[in-house]
Amino acid sequence: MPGLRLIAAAMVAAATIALVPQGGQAQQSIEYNQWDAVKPMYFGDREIGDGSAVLAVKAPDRAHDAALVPVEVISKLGPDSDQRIEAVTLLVERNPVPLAGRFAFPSQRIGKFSTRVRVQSYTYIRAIAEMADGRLLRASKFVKASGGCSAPAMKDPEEAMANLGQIRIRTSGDARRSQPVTAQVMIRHPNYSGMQYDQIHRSYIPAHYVEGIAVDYAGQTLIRAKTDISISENPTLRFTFTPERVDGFAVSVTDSKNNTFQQHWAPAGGQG
Amino acid sequence: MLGPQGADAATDAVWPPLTRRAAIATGAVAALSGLSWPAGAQAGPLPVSEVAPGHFVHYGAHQMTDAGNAGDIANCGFVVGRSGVAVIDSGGSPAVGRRLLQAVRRTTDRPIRYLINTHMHPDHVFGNVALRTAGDDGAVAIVGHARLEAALRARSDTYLGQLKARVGPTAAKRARFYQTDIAVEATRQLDLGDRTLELTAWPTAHTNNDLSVLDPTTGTFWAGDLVFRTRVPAVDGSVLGWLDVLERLRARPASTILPGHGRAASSWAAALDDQQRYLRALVSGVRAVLDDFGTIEQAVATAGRSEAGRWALFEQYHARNVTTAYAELEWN
Ligand SMILES: [Zn+2]
Repeated sequence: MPGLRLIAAAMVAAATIALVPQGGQAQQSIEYNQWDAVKPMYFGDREIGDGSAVLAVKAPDRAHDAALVPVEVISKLGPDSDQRIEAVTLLVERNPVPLAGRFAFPSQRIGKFSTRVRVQSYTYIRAIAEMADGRLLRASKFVKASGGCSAPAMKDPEEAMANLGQIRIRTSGDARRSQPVTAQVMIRHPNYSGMQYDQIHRSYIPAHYVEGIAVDYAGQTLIRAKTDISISENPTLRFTFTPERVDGFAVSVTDSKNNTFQQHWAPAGGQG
Repeated sequence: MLGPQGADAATDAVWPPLTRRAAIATGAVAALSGLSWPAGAQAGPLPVSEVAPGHFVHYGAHQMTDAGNAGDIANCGFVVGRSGVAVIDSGGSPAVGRRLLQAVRRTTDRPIRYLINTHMHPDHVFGNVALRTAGDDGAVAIVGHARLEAALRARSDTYLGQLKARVGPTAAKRARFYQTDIAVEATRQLDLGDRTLELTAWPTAHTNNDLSVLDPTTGTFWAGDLVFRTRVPAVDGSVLGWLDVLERLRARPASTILPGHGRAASSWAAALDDQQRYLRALVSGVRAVLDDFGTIEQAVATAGRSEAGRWALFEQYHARNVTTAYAELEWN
């Protein structure tokens, strides 16, 4: 895995070396497009089509904090659509490790989900949907930000390590049968990227990050995420779904040092 | 990524040459001032004013760091005691640090004993190289919060990259990071002969390594970036922790308060009222959004907007402050 990471970083570096920012937004977006270099790393030679009818990516045009850029993926498919998104791969195209995560939805539709990512330089953020019929479909958003990957992971590292692995689950309101509800899973973790070079001791701060998040609802896996260092510190997942019955969440998180953290959440009114 | 380049830049630079160190010892600094340093508006000793007996402050500009101001955007200064000088912060680039050194030399011939860094931020530490090498080897001790060094280690590469991009490659090549010689865990006294400076290391507030300096003989309190006036406060630690620390500051006896940004104040009310109002507006605005299950973007659009127009550089920092506060308050 470390070898693969280095290769990815080297490929991106090689691809970006000739970039000269110029012109307006459209011109810049073209200049910063690294899709042809990044796509084979994750999808080989598979064909990827235009996903604009199926999904959209939302992010601020210019990030307020490059280490904490909110990204939302919205499904445009209605509840009765005969198409289904089985997983979404989120790429921050020009990051040293472009993969933010692959988010799979094995049991039911997720209307939208959002997380926060680090952005190292002006880049496209890509969402690639894996459809139930086998197609790959892509949506994109261009974001202006820089320095997020090598940004220090924590404002207060002692507090961060003291709280490592805390998980909190909250919902937008009481879950009701057949009514859409938004839930958020919050994980306390520094998500050290391994990209920060220590000029005093001439070494890198070691990577330590969340690798997997599984969110179960009513005994079924709602989201299974495989995540990487492009996810911001204190990772969060916010998502909207329509429960078939009122029940509780179970969340399980694993990190790159083989820690496992778990949390359960039951609705206030009990199950039903 | 910046890592390897930054390391190379740090190892192949040869500044400062030994000859310069010798020149300073003989008081011939001015003769060398044009030597490979920027001329014009950025040359010559930093203008300083004596705000209390022995306390000299330079006011940085309320600007973003760029090549034009070379990072001279934060306050810095020095305290002249009978047995020596304590410099407090060093400016946002080696060039600014050198101009601060010239200001010291123009004011006194007493030796520089201490270089106190009030916290990790680049506009306060990137002049360190000029001051640190001003005396004989090891003669100038770097003084900081016990968490300063680790905070710098985690950010050095990022800061160096920013210095290179904003001020220029020469500045980045000259800049150095140092270990903390005197690390303050809670409190510490520094004897300057006719006065003893009282240093306090604070819990996480503006950053997780804020250090203040009080001279009880003159009632002068160097607050570093615990206090912002005119320039919008930047939250890089804990907004709740900062509000707590500000309350505790009010209990300190001080007749002259020197902020990290903005002019000296003669009372805590003058120093803190605006800043507390801003931070409280930030907290209540973000809390309202969080209580409503709102997003970061919703918080950015609404929280603390009543403060717009009351601060310099508000639009440059406020959205980031909201984002930082949101990330803190969703857990607290
Ligand atoms: Zn500061």
